[in-house]
Amino acid sequence: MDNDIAIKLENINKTFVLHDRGNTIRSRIFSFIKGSGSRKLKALQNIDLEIKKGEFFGIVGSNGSGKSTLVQIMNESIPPDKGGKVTVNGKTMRLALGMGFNNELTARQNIMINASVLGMSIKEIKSKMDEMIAFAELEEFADTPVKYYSSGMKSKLMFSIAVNAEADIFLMDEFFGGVGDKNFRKKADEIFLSRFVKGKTIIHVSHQYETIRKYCDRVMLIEKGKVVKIGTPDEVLEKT
Amino acid sequence: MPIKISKTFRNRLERIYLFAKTDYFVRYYGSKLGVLWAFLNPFFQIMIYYFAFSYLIFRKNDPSFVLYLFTGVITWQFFSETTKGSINLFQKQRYILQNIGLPKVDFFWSLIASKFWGYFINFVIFLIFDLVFFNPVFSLNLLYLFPIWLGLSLFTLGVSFYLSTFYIYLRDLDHLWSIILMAGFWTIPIIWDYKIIYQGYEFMMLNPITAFIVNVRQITLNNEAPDLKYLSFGLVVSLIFAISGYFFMKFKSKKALEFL
Repeated sequence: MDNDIAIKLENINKTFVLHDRGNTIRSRIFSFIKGSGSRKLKALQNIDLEIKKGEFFGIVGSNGSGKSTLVQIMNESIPPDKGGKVTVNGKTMRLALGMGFNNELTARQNIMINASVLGMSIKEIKSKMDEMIAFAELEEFADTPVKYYSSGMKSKLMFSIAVNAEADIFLMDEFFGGVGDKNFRKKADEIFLSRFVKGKTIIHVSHQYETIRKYCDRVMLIEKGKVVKIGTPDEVLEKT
Repeated sequence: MPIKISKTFRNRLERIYLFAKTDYFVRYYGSKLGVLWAFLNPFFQIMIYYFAFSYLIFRKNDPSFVLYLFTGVITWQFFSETTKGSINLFQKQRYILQNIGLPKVDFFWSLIASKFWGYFINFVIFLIFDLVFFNPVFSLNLLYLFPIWLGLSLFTLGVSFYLSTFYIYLRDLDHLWSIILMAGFWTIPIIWDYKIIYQGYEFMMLNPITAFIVNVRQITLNNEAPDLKYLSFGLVVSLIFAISGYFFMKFKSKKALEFL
């Protein structure tokens, strides 16, 4: 395998088996007697893809087209169907705004845990703590439990933690380009570009064509689990 | 390169520590007395047993029964609370598992560390109570506590691996498990006298938890060496549980995120 490839997908299919029964003992017994009502849903079909190291790769498609499933397969958090092969060179991380805050904990305590999960050492976190809080513009609420935060405050906080994340390949699921007001977005754009774009591989899933056009080297359009087109943003986005 | 490896390893240890700390402290946040409850709870528990059993129920019997009961209860609580907490572990941590490829086993390390710390605090309360009221005699036999704690933790860990993995496919396992725990509570000598076991019911010692609880008492209450035959059997069973459970969890939990 080439050394300059970050992610390679070969013959990826993903079938979800949807059970109309629940996952309880009672419903299992019933469905065993009556015959189970399960349906198969093909979320992805025959996907072959190579993403190079350092590439800024966009994925677009309508809701339910399989974008998120594809990201989860790249992230190896769910396995593809038999016969498919996922090769990943480097540490991957999916960044999404809904990532886990513990609502009972304060912003500081959540920063501690989340930043550690993202690969920072306790020492680094302590030294960057104030910076992260200031970036999220939450100085006054640093010791307030996150359960009292608005969703906007939470996503700002998540963003300011996540820009410190350490990984080689970032999978951004609607993560970038939609947080906060105009000022925050400008600030976020800058830090995003300086921290991430250089030397990292980025896979960017979004509805916002503006950011895709601006940054992506290549874009993939996916519909109903199938690849429709891969090419430069101009080539692909024109079609939609 | 070796520096880089040690950095990721250190990060991993730090993460396990932070998760354990959160798991331990989170139930005290927002309460006025905070972590003090971690000490107050076992303190009041032992006091209630003391008054209930020495003044109300077994008035004429041995007042040290309170120690007998307390050692049994806290050891049992460590097992039951850890396993209960492990059932929906993947569900609780699904956001993290979805985003970052952390080894799943780390969540189990954190859980067991947090619960063991709680058990340890209870044990300290027990020792203080024992020293203040009963003038106990201790010897090097106390060192046997370490293999017992190791076995207890391994067994608990093994059961937790199985439970959390089965839960992916069987969502009402938590109700079933609380019934099994209730059965366990009454079939293990927590309240009743373990000497009954040696009067023809020795097969009960094959349950590792029974073997551990009996031996914790041998050591701390009677200042005797443990029953090595059943202790070592319990250790072996625990080790088998932990190792087989680990691989079971590792291979059968791959689809966890699809189902939860």
